[in-house]
Amino acid sequence: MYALGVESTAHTFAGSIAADDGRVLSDVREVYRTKAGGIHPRNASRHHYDKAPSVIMRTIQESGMGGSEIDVVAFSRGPGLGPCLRVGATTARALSLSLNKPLVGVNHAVAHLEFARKASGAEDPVFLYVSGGNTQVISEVTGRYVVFGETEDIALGNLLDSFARSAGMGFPGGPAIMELAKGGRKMVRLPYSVKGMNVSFSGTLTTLESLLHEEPVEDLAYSVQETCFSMLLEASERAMAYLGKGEFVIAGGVGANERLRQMASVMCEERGARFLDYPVEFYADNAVMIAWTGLCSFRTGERLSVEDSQAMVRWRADEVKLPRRVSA
Amino acid sequence: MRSSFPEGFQPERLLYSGAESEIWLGTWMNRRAVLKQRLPKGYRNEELDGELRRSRTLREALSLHECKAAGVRAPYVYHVSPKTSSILMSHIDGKTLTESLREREREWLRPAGESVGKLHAEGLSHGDLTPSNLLIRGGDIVLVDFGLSERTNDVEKFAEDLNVMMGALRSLIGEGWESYWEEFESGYLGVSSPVCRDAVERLKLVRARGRYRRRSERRPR
Repeated sequence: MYALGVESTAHTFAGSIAADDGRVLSDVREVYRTKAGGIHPRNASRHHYDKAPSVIMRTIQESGMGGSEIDVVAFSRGPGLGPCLRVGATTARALSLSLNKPLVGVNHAVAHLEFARKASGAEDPVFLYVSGGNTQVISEVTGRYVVFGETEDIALGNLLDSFARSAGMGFPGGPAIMELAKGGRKMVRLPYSVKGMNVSFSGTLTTLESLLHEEPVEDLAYSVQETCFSMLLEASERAMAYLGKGEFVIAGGVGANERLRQMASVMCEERGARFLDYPVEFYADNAVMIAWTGLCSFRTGERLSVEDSQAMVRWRADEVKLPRRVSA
Repeated sequence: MRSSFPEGFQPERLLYSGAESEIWLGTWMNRRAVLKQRLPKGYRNEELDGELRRSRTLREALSLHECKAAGVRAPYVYHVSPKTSSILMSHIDGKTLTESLREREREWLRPAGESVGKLHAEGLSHGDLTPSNLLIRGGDIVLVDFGLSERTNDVEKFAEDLNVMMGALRSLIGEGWESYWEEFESGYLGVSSPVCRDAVERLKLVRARGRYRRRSERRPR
């Protein structure tokens, strides 16, 4: 059984065809970038409109299959930026109607977690879901993802991108900061704000911006990583202790940061838990996870009619009843 | 087990391995005692790690002492060591509010709310107000784990405490958690301090902040 997945929640427009035996037949991505300044939803959606036709063409061509062999069209229905989500939704509807295949809507956050679980081989982990728009500590309780901790204001990726923008770098800022941090030596004091399993980053951004012309940018990059990653791991470890769970998995684009994953593995080792990693290219937004999760929902019997397929900008992961997992 | 023990403390068993500390049960000067030791975190920058462990240990010891002035029960501090970031304190023999809630008991929520209300009215925030940090001993509520506490007049901090408690009730109880929260809140507001009334108001704003809020929790206009 095959699904064609479409992803368009934020900066990435992507297509993928995946099979229920775990094979990935194609994985095509186009990322909206800027030389300076952040992500503008309207500009990002224009980028998606421009790229959509070629991404879908390549997704089908690279798979070596014909469009008629696909069983279901899955798309990332939310949460995300409205203008961007609507490009993916429109594309998926068009595919569903023209190929005459059923449609399913996938929660973007749930797709990250479900795919991370499958790719890492974890059974019942505590997840740290951290990306440009999300920072949450999540774990499954009786068939549903429950958010145990989250940011009280901005997401960590948002903080990194905003800091990069203030320092004159383009979007996305996370990779640039990771490189700069390697040249940092001095620990600059930044707010360390952990409240149980919740964290807060808005004060950190204010402090960073006020220090921008006083401290070397390498030291600031180093310090923001050390401080904020520590906050995230403390909150995650508290959830592991609270829930008595011994597996830890990271999902979302910030997980591509080597230092974060290295710190995570030390944290787990010290408490006798397991940090379960997976290929780094699957931390960032992609359509493989959408195709995969869409397949699972489809096999559970889920269908979405074109009339009811509007994007859901604020669809939380904890509002989703989880699909039965397909063993692959 | 990476803890080192202060002189005179005979460890018996590890009670809990938390996110930042190990908690050991044992005896000290012929009393039942608990040792809370904040261990170095290998993942954390050494400078940051040392500073966090030291300041939290001192803050916790101080808050354990200060909350008694508010009429809130908490363990007695026997010994504090900033060097090993450890606190030796009296042992509280009781079950946690989490355990009581798992059995769907509601009767402790009101007194729990009252204890938290008294704490806030005295100008202390807890910082990690999950039901696991409220113990039930006999007929009393005893608060523990003050490592993230703060002395403050900022109503925001109190609202954050309430936010953590509300989130914990939501995930612990699931459907129907609202009535559990109402019990807690009525005990909290029963303290009849303006601080508590303000904190409950501010909680609405705290919950309206952040990303992807539920529809019912958008920022009030």
